[in-house]
Order: sequence, then C-alpha cells, then structure tokens
Amino acid sequence: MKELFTAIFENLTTWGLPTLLFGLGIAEFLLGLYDKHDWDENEKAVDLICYAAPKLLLTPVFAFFSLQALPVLFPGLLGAFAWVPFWFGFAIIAVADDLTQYWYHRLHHEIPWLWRFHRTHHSAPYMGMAMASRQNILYTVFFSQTYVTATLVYLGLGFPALFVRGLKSVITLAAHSSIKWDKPFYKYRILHPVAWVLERLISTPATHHAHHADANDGVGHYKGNFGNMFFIWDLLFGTGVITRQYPAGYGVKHYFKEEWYAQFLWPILKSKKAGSELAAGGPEFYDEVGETGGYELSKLQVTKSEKNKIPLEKEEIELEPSLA
Amino acid sequence: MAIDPAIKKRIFKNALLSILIYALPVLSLFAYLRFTGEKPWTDKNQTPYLKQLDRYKDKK
Repeated sequence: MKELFTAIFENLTTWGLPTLLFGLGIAEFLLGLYDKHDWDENEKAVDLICYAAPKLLLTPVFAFFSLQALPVLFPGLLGAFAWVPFWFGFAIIAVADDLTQYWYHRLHHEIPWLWRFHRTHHSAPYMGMAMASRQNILYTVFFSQTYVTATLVYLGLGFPALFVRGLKSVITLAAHSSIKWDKPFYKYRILHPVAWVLERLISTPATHHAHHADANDGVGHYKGNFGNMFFIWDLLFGTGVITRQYPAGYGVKHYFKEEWYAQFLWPILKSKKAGSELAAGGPEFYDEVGETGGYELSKLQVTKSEKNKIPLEKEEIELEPSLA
Repeated sequence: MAIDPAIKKRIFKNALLSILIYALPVLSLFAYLRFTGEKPWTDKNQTPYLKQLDRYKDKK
C-alpha cells in the first residue's frame, strides 16, 4: 500500500500536477467559464508567461539553494532527521510550509509597499487554471515556504514532504478553479456536516474566490481568506469569512490592464499607464473605497505627466471619472 | 503609505500565536517519544528520501 501511494504522489508531483492543471483548464474552457471580454490577449500573455517563465528562470535559483547553499548552511545534516516518524514529519512540513505561505501571502495584502509584488495574482478579472500560477516574478523568487520546505527535505523530511506538496497543490488548484465543485456540499442537506468540516479545514472555491473578489461586500473578502492549503489559519487569526456564496466579480478595482511585462517584472519594468500602481511614480496602493493611499488620482496623473513629460493618452483620460 | 496601526497590532499578536503553532508538531513529537520510549534515531539503516533534491541534479 505504501508503495502504491508513493508511486501516486511521485507521479503527481512530476507530470500529474501539470496534467491536472491543463485538464481542469480545458474543462473550464469547454464549460464556457472564460469570458472572452475578460480573457483578452493581454490577460492570456500574463497568464502564459507567469506559468512558463519561472520554470525556466527560477529552476537554477532553487537548484543553487538546494544543492549549494543548504550544505553550507547545515553542514553534515543531510538526512539527519530521516528518523522522524511519517505522521509527525507530515505535520511538521504541513504547518511549516502552509503557515509560512499564509504569512507571506497575508503580509503582501496588509503591508502596503508589498502589495504590488502580489497584485498580478489579483488583477485577473476571472478565476480558473489560467490565472492560478499568475504571479510577479519577484513574488515567486521570494516564495518563503519553498525554501523552508527545501530545507526540511534536506534535513531528512523528504518523504512526508512529497505527500504534503501533492495534497497542497491539488487543494490550491481546486480552490482557484472556476468549477465550483464545493456547491453540492452546500446544496444538499445530507452533505452539510461534510461542508462544515471542509470549509474550515481547507481552501474551497467559495472561500478562495471571496479572496479574489473585486469588492468587500459581505461575500467578497479580499482583505482576508489568505489560507492556501489550510483555512484553519484564517479561523485562528480572525481573517476568515465563510458565506458559502461566490462573488459577483473578480480582480482589482483600479485595473488598467497593465502590460504583461509590467505585471510579470515590476519593478524592473514599469507600466506606461498613468495612474497605475505599476507605473513609474504610481500610487503604492488603492484601497477599497477608491482612495489612493495618500495620492489624489487627478493630481497624480498631472504630476506624473509633468514629471516624466509623458502626455496622457486619450484612453487614460477617459478612465479617470470612473476612478475618482 | 503607513501600515494601519490596528493591522500592525493584529499582525504582531498573530505572529506570537504562530510561533506556538509552528512548535506544536515538534513538541508533540517530543511528547510521543518520551511517552513511548522509542529512540528511532538509533536505527542507522534510515535512508533519507531526497528525490526532490536529486531532481535538480538531473537538470544540472
């Protein structure tokens, strides 16, 4: 039995997860869950580049950390804790990985200057497999739990880590899916006890979609529901809201459809769209009531155009009234 | 833009609780080993599972 589960998770973490992602993505597409107006060429470019580029660009970084840095940081400790019983190792990895990711994620929402590194994940005005991997490159580079888990694997917890990684990836992909697989659990009375446990234990489409909502309206809750694999953290820290409903809209309110390169590489490359959080001299953070984090949008656009001698484009001027 | 003081306070409070949560699985392992008297680290035949790291070697 152990061999069977090991084989399943080994395959899952190599070719299984990409297959699941593409399979779910195709199912979403066939079910008509990608709105043609929302999923335009720029969004497709952001989604695709954020999925593919880190696999090429960041593998050497993670390889360097695992093969070169860890032996220097922890000399002689390779596999030193391989004796840790499986379920304890599983609990150690699950908590270390997912709680670290909870904090990494939460701080990017609660500390204003960090927000723009995470904004790309939230700018998608839709949910689904296309946007599940959508992140700014620096957010991915400093994904703290990657290094925590790599360290624990080096120290000997690689076997339980295999299962945690597999489970976590399936849960987070399923929570981002536009297929609302959790709906039957809320609809049928007999399944309510299962729903009660499920929505408190792990991220579901209802709770995670609420986090991606474009409004904090009771159903949408983008200032909370930060959990990735476990939802328990949100309950413990008071950042969670469970409604069993799905938000009406997704994305960020002040979205300028910034260029794919700015979304992927900010602050290395910046957006040319005046007033954007990703533009040179742009506001750090727009809050939920349309304020601009200390900036007044009209003044900001004038200041920016004057400062950089870039004339405002017609489209950008037209955007202004709806943003004020 | 400065961080909201209420959020700052909540972060600090929750971070303290997190330290305890991080420690819980390790503390429960110690409790288990003490209660059962097991000494699994004395078994020298333990081989670490390092396929996640070996995967990088293959790509070198």
